[in-house]
Amino acid sequence: MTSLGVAFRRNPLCVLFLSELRRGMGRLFSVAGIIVLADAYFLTREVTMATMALLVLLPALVLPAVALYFGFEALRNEWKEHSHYLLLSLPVRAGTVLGAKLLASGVQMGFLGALAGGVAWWYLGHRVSVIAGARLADVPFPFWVKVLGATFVLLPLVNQSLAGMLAFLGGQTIGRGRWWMTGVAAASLLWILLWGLLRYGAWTPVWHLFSGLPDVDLGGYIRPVVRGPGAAQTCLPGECVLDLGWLVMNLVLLAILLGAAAALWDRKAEV
Amino acid sequence: MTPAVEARGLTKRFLGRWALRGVDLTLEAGRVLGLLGPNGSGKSTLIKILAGVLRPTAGEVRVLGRRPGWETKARVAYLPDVDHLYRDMNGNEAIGFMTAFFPDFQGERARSLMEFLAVPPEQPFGQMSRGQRARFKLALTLARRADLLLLDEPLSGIDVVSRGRILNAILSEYRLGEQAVILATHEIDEAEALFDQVVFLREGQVILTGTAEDLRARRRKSIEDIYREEYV
Repeated sequence: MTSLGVAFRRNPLCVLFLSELRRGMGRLFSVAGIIVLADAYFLTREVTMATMALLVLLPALVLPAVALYFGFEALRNEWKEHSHYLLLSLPVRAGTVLGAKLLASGVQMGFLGALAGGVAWWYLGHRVSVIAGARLADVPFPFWVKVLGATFVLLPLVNQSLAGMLAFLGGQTIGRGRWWMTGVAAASLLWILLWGLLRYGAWTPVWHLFSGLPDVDLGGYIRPVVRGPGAAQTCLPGECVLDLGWLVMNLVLLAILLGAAAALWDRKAEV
Repeated sequence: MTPAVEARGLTKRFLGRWALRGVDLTLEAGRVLGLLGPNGSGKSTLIKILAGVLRPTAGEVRVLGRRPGWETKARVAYLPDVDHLYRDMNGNEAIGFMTAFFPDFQGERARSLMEFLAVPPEQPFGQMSRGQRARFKLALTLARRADLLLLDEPLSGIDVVSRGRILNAILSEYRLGEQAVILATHEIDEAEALFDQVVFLREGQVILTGTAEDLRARRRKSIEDIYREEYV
């Protein structure tokens, strides 16, 4: 093994990250299987506006819920299997444990996003746009646009995972040892967090606090949409932008949620 | 010299019940303390607080001179009374895991302890028998050169042969004069020879404490007989 490999295997964050990835495989492949089945169903249907909308919208609607579930399960499983005894007895701060779970959640959501989004993209690019008279797949997307796009999609999903973890930790703190009280407290917290994320999250007025930040010019390569009988549309340079304020808003949310979860882990989490 | 453990008025309340009520305890380095009492007397709660995985409701506690926290965890080896390892983790993976977190963990020592305790290193933890799981956990705990060793029921539910192996392992790995050990157990007759100091707990309170030698001399009984007298 190379010295880098040895260093990786001896780094607490990396060890916990790999451990989390490994233990989340079952959940990951179950959801991936459901996505593949759903995609297979839509891909064998006739192309209509309904199948098109469902195929494209389903990942957008389902993945946030999956992220929330993955975050909640990442901690609930530790308590269920008693391995929280092991985690809580490790000489590391909350950030290492939760950071590893968050990184793993990011990878898992990236995989599911690539799977669901990739199929939707292929569908739009190869089937729908051909019918519409143009090939969306031929639109050139530079690598950096893809990376930025993935970040824009992944960040809110990671925040959803964190919300799931926070809800579990809050439920544990309030319920302490009584499963029904823990469940009610976690569900209530989840409701409040979701309301907060929707009310004050990425697509709300708070976002506009950061609206003064410069936009990222994508050079006219983004926002390809199919419009009726027309070809895939790309916008003109300077017109086609991603809102940097939206990215910053999500980073601020990440910091707030992670800080709250870490404080709960450090001060309240018990066996 | 800083005591390994110092607790004053240690109290823990769970929903609707007291687990510990005003426990005072001092344990010097290099001593072995037997923590005795029936189920529900507060032994595990006390050990968990010292391990830093549970917080006291009131009172003061110092472990190796500090409040229990992530810094003390690097110097405390804790063996819980539940199966806390991941079920798919085998011996070799567990050694890799522990090495990443504990600078005092000795991989080679863990391997030889596993061999001595007859733990199959390739078998996942979840597929081991109860005795094998107990010995596996103990091998990982004893492979640390920790200043404080907290063993919560290491002999519980273990067959006679395994119990002998476990006690031999604790005896042979105990570093005289350096390491403090707290051992909570119901198997008093087998573990009695290890104790320097004994604490008897009932309903979260210390009802009797002292050096093992002094208690035996005062009561003219073995620790096991004193236990029977106090609780039966």
